[in-house]
Amino acid sequence: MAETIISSGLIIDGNLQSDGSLRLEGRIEGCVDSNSSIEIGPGAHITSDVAGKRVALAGSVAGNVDARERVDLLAGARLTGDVRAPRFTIADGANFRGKVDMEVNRGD
Amino acid sequence: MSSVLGATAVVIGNIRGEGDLEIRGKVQGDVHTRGRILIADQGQVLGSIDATQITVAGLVRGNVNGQDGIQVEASGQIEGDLAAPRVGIEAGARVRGSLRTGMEVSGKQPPEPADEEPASLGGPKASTRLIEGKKQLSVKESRSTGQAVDESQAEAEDGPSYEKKRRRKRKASRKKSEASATNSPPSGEPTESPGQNVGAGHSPQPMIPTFVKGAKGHRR
Repeated sequence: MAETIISSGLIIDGNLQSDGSLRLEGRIEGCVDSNSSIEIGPGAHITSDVAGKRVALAGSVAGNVDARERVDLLAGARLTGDVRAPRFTIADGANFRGKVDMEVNRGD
Repeated sequence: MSSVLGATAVVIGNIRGEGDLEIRGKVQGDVHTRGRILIADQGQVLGSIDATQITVAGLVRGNVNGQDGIQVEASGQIEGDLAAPRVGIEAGARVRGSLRTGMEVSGKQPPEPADEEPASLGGPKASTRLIEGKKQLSVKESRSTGQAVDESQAEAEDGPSYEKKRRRKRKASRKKSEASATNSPPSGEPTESPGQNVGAGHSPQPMIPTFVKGAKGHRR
C-alpha cells in the first residue's frame, strides 16, 4: 500500500514531495517528487515534472519523467515530456511524445 | 473516495476537490474540500481548512471552517478561528483563536448586525461584541476612519468658524446631558433621592471614554 494516496476527486494546486511511495489518481498542478515508487493511475493528470525511484504511468503527464531505476508507460498512459531512466518500457496502447535518455552511467 | 497524505509527504500549495482526506504529513497552503478531513497526530496544515467535517489531532495554523462540525482531539493544536455548527474540543487540546458555533457557516462573510453603534463602549452589548471577534472590530475601525476623514475635510474648509461650531456643539451637548441628569435619575441607581439628583445636575458630566477619534461618544 502506498504511503500517500491522492484519489480521483482531489486537486493539488502545488507541488507534492515525499520520501515514501505515492499513488496518484487525482490532479496535480505542479511537480511530483518521491524517493520511492510513484504509481500514476489512469484518471490522473499531472501538469509538471515527475521524479522518483520507479515510475509506473497509466495516466496523463505533461512534463518530464525522471527515475533512478525505471519508468514504465502502461496502456492508457499519455506522456508529453522527456524520460530519463536507465530502464524504460512502453506498453502497447501507451501514448508518448518526447525524448528518451537512458544513460548507462548515471552519476547519482 | 478517500485519500491519505503520508507522514513524509509535503504539499506546498492548496488542496481542493472532494472526498475524504487524512493528513499525516505537512501541507503549506489551504485545504478546501467537500468531504471529511482528518489531521493525524503528526499532521500539520499551515493554512486554512474548509470542509464538511474536520477532525484535528495535529497542528493547524489557520482558520478552520466546518460545514457540519469540527472535532479537536486532545492532541490537537489550532492557532486560528473556528467556525462550525457544532464544535467539540477534547480536554487537553490547545486552541487559540475565536470560536463561533451553532450557526450556519457559508462561504461568504456573515452579515453585520443592524444595530451597530459607533464605538462607545458601555452597557450590556459590550461583552457580546468582544466575543464576536475581530471581524466586528475591523468594521468599526473602518467606520470610524470614515468619520475622521469627514471631520478633517470640514476643518480644512474654514478653520475658525468650524472651531466655533464645534465649541457650540460641545456646549450644547454638555447642557443636554446635564438636563437629562436632572430630569431622570441614572438607570443604575433607582433609590437616589430627589435632593441628591439636583446636586448631581450641577457638576459637569464626566466624558464617556471614546476609543475612536471623531466618533460621537456622547450619544445615548
